[in-house]
Amino acid sequence: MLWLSLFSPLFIGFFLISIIWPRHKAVSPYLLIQSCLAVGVGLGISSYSFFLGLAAFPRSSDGFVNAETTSLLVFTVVLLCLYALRRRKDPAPRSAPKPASKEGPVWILCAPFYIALIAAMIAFMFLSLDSPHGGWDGWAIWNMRARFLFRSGVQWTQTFSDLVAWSHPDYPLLIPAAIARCWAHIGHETLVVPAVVSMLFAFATVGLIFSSLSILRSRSQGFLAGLVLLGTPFFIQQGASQQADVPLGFFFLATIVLFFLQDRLPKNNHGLLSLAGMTAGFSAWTKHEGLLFLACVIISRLSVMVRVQDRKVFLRQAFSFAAGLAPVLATVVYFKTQIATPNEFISFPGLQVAVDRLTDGSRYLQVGKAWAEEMVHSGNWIFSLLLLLVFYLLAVGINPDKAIKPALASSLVLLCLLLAGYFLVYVTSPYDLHWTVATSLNRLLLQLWPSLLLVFFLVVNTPEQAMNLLSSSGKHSQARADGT
Amino acid sequence: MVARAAIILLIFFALLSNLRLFRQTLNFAPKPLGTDEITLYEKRFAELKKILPYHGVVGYISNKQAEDIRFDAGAAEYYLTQYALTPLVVAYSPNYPLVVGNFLQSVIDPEIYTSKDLVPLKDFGNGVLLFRRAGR
Repeated sequence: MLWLSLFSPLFIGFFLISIIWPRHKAVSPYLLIQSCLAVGVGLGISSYSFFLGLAAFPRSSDGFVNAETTSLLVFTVVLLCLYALRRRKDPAPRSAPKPASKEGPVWILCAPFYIALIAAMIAFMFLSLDSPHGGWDGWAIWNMRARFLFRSGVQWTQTFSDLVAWSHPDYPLLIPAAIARCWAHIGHETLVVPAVVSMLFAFATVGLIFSSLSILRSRSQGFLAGLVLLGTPFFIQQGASQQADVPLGFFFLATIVLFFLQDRLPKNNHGLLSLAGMTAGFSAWTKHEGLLFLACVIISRLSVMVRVQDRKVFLRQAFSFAAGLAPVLATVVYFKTQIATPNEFISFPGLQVAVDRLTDGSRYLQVGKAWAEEMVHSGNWIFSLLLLLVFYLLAVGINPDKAIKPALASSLVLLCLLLAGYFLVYVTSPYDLHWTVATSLNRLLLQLWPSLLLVFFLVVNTPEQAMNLLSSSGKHSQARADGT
Repeated sequence: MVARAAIILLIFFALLSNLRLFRQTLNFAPKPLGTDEITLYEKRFAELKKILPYHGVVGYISNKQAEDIRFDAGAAEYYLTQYALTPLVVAYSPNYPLVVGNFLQSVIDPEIYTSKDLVPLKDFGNGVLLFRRAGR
C-alpha cells in the first residue's frame, strides 16, 4: 500500500505526459525525460488534488481517499484508452526533435557518471537514515505542515495560525500535501514517505538534466552535466534534508527543458507548452520563489519570442501555456488569498522603508560581497566547480545549436531576471542582512543550479566537438570564422 | 590539449567531491530506526500527548526562554515540542489554561512557574510537566 500510494501519482503523471507528448519515431530517448517529468507532474497533481479535497471535504478524510483512489483509477483508464486510440488513429509519427546523433568518447564520461550516481544514491540513503525527520527546515516547516494536514482533520486550517508564524504558515503546500496524501492513503505516518519524495525529486533532476542534454546536444554532454550535478555535495545533502529547494529546482529545470524541446517542434504543435505551464505553476505551489520564477518566465518569453515568432503563433503558444498553468495557479491564488498568512519577506514594508533600502548603497555592497563568496563555495565542493566551469568554458569554447537560440536567449533572460529578483529581495529584506544571507543564499543558488548547468552545457562545445576542433585546426579556424 | 585538460579536471573534481560526500556518510555510526535525536526527543512527550486535547492551543514555558523565537537557537526545544505535539498548536506563552513545561533538568525551581501563576498538574519525568493557570 505504501509503494502504491507513492507511485500511483507517478503513473498518472507519466500517462498524462505521454498523451501530451508529440509522437516520435524513436520513443526510447524520450522515455527517461517523460519518466523524470512524471515525478514532478504526478506528485504535483496528487498534492493539489489532496489540498482541494481537504478544502472541499474537510470532514471526510476517508471519503476523500476513496474518492481520490477511484478518480485516479478512472483517470488512468481514460488516459490509457486515449493513448491507445491515439496510437491507432495516428500510427505515423509527426515530425519531432531529433535526438542528437553525435556520439563521441561517451564511455569516458559514462563510467564516472554511473559511479557518481551510485555513490550519491548510497550517500542519500545514509543521510536519510541519519536524520529521518530531515534537516532543520525539513522537519520544522515541511514535515510539520504535513503532520498538521494529516492529523488535523476538520481543524486542518489551524496549521496556518499566527501562533506558529515561525514555521512560515504562508509557504505553499506541494511538498507537505504530497506527503500527507500518502499518509492518508496508507492510514498512518511513516518517515519513509518524505525521504522517498525527496529522493525522487533529487534523482529525477539528475535524470532530467542528463536526458534532456542527451537529446538537445549529445550523450557525453548529458553525462558531463549529470556528473557536475552529482558532484555537488550540497545538492545531495539538501535533497536528503527534505527541504523544498531541490523540488523547486526540479520544476525550474523542467519548465526550461520543456521550452527548449517545444522550440524544436513544428509551430502548430504546442503540447509541451501546456506541460511547461503546469510545471511553472507547480513551482509556485512549492515555494514563493516559484511565483517570481513564473513572472520571470512570462517576461522572458514575451520579450524574446514576440520578436522571433509570428504573433498568431505566439498567442496560440501563450494560450497553451496558460491552459497548463491556470488550474495550478488558481489553487495557489486560493491558498494565498483565503488560507495563508501574508509572506514576511514580501509584505510591503512601507514605501519610504523600501525606498530607503533600495537607495542604500551599502546594502548592495554587502549583498554583492556575500553573493560572490557564496557562489564560489556554495556547492560544498572540494574545489569550486563554478570556477572550474569558467575555465572549462574558456577552454572548450561555445557553440550553441541555431535551432535553440531563441529558447536559449529567453532562458538566459529568465535566469538573469531571477538572479536580479533574488538580489533585490535581499536588499529590501526586513531582517538582519547578515543573518538572511547566511541562512538562505546557498539554498537559493541551489534552486538555480540545475537550470544554470543545463543552459551552460547547451552553450559550450560538447567534449567530442572540443576534441575534434583541436585535432583539426582547419575546422577550428572555420568555427572561429563563423563566430561560433 | 587545454580542452582535454579542462574536461579531465571537471570530471576529476566532480567525482572527487561526490566520493568525498560518499565517504563522509559511510562514517556515520549506523543507528537502529527510531533512535535518532528527534524521535527520542518526541518520545519524551508520549505520555503527555495522551492527556492533552487533540486540537486547540496550549501554552509553553521552559527554563530556556528565547528573546526572539525565530532567530534564537535556544528556541529549538520549543520547535521540537510543537513538532511532537502537532496538531495541537503550542503557543510560546504561559498565558493559556493549559501550559506545557519543557525543562532540561528533572528538578525545577518552582519560581519558574509560580511567578507565572501556574500550578503543576502532572510531572511526566524527563523535565516534561503540564500546568494549569491558577484560579481556573
